[in-house]
Amino acid sequence: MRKFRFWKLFLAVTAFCILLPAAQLLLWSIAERWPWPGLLPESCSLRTVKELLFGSAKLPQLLLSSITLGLTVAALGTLAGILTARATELYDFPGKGLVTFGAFLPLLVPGTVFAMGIQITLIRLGLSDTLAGVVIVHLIAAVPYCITIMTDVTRAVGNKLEQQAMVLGASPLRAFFQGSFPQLLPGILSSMSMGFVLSYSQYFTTLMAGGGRVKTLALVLIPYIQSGDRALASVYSVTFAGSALLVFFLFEGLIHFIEKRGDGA
Amino acid sequence: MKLKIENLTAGYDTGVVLENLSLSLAAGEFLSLLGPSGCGKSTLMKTIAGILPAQSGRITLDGVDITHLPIHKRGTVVVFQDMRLFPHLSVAENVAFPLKMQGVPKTERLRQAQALLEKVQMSGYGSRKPAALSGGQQQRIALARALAAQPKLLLLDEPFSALDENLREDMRNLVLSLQQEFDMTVILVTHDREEALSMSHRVAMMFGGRIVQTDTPRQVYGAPATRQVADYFGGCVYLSGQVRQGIFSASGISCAAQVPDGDYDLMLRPEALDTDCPGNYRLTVESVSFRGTDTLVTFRAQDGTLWKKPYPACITLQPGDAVQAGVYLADPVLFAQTNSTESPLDYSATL
Amino acid sequence: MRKQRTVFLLLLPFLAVTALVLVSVWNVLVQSFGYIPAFGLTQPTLSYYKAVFTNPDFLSALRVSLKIALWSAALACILGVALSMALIRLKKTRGRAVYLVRFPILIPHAVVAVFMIQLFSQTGLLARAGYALGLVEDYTRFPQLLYTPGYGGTIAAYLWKEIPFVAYFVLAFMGSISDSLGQAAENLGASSARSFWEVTLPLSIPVIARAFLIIFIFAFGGYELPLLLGATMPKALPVQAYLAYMNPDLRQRPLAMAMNGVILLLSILMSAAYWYLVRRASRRMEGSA
Repeated sequence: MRKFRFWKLFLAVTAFCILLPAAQLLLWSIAERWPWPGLLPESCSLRTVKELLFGSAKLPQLLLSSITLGLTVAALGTLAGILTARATELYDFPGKGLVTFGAFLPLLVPGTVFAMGIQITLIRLGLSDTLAGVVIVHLIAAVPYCITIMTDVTRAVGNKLEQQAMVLGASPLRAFFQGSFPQLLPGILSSMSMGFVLSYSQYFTTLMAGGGRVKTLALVLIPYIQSGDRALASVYSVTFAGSALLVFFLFEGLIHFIEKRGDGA
Repeated sequence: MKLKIENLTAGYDTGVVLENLSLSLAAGEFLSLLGPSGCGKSTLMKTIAGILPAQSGRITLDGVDITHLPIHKRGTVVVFQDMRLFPHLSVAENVAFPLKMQGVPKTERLRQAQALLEKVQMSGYGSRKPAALSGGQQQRIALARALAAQPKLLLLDEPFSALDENLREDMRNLVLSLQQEFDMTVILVTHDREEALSMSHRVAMMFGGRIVQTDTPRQVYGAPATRQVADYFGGCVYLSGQVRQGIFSASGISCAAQVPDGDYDLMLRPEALDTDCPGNYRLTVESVSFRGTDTLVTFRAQDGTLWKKPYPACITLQPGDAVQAGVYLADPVLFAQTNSTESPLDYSATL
Repeated sequence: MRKQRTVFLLLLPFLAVTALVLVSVWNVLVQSFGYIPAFGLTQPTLSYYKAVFTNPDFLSALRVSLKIALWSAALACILGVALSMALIRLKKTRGRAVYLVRFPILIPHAVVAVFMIQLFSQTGLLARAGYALGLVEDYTRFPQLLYTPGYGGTIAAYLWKEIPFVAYFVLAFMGSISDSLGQAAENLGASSARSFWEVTLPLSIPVIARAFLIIFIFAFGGYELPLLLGATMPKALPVQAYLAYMNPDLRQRPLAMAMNGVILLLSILMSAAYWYLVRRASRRMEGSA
């Protein structure tokens, strides 16, 4: 059909535009020599990669701390999401509309403005230049998305199974873990994956709250880009994007695994 | 023939639902597609409307091959179960929508919409939004909107199942009167046997992606082609017996049968059991349950067969009573006994 | 009573987050009015706002940031909706094609900046392709696409990330509208294009507007992309604000906050416009007359 040909072409062009820079980045990260005006590198080697990954042991450490930070934010943000969603979906209380609005609020305040505004408070609380301070400012970015995802899931799951478990004699907490939790789990994992991605790519908020003392991949990468060191910037970028994708696909894989098992296959 | 479907095969990515299906409709005919959920009747409707592509076969409408025409060029208009009124348009704009697509100027299409709203007794509602209407009212608007498209074939996809019982009756009458007024060819997709029997000229019985029988309502009920069809209308009783030289006989019963000799089951409905006219079919009353408008009496026959028959509420039968009944055997329906032990599905549970 | 306590406890993390955001906004506003006792500034005044609005650097920064935000959000919404429709029409609303669309959402902005440099710089892939085709004689002759005062590189970077974001953001909603009401429209005689313009698109406006708002605010307050891909002059507003904020001259602090106040004000105005639009749309659907 002719009509579909247009959409197919559009999708193909989109796929090309999405994948081309990624493929080029991969080449740059292993290119040893890639002078103008070659379309492909003259020679390739994994030397830079090896040096960075196994040489000074700086990059692996950075990777580990960035991922840990991301997962911490993901877990806390998701917890906030679960609790908020339970309050709004399972209970009736005055001012519910305000909560819905409030959940959207952090998206309305740009991260740069928020980070500059909150710094003085972090200093007063003694959280400036600390990991805890960074976790807090990252949470602001992650929580709106976590709440949205968990609200959708909680609405779909409801608390029927939980009530059933309580009727059968389970304590509320046990009822939650036995009844609703397994059904919420795919949603919890996608909320975590979202929270992780958001924390992982933060730059400005980390810079402000961490004061340069809390180092993440984003923080280290940007000076390399500014200095125009293509080889280093490429290897850091591949590590940065690659690790983000890896964690994301781990979450996706877990979600698929759980959903398949849930189908009783 | 108005609509002709030949050897149609269709389905989803997950598998074929309809295989080699054929069906035809005369102009002005009202046909019901009746069958349990999952039998493929909705798939057939979607394929006729072009929402699902046909994998093979041919569909012709008014002599034109529409098998591969896009949805909007077919002239097969569906009234969906969930009505699908456009929430951002007023009632009048909804009804005028098909006319707008045909390029009818605004004043003219709104005038026609107004006329159609009168036909469905919704004339005062043109400026409202669909969300401000009740389910029954929305159904009327959906019907008016479908009529505005001047369909060559009107497809009704379980249109009454979301309505209350008393509204349903009104809507059925409205649909029938409009069908006659506009002399429309209609296919009604339904799982409601009463609806199918009372509304249509012909009923097509669908099971497992096949049309098993297409006949008048009286015929599909009185002379079901298969046990499945018989069971779908519920309350069937089977008496097993033999046919020898054109006579079927079972315990206490015999009748003429024009079938080859062999083992058969005689299908009977509760109407065939006549407890007021004593015969030699012996039963015992097992239970009597009052249901409001009637009383359901369960009998156990001597041969072990279980009968359930509704009586007027004031019946005097008591559990334990012995009854000698006559069995009305005018047009016996016989099914050859098969060796397989599969039991017929009991659709009466979905009543 | 017990129920109220439960609700309160459940909302505690949310309230903490909201409080932090509000405190931050409060800090920005208070400091922008020149009230910073720690620096010996105790007299609330509007003079810092006046000062920024008479500063040509600020005004051009404001213009740059507005331009980045509007172009990014508008083009991302138009092309993102088109991408979403492509997926819906080709029935690729799950599986590989969706992962392709989700991929850019996962890539950090800094890495996107690297992409843009490798593609569009004077020795980037585009220039090399131009050379291979005989269109460019030497990289010095290739037009400068990045670091220009037009901020094209920054907008391109946002688009690379946000077009797929919009497509993914609206996909589920537009898919369900298109499969139910859009299909009904086609069944009533609308071509697929008309069914999109008459039914699917108007009904999806609230979701698209939400995506627009999120991108607009994000790009308007974004720091790293204009920093890495933009010109030295004029700077984007957040870059300018951060520069003032970090200035050793502490009297620059209220100026920085006044700039943040302007960013905030515009974000709030955009949100208000969004809310007005969505409210009107939902009213129109409920309305009796």
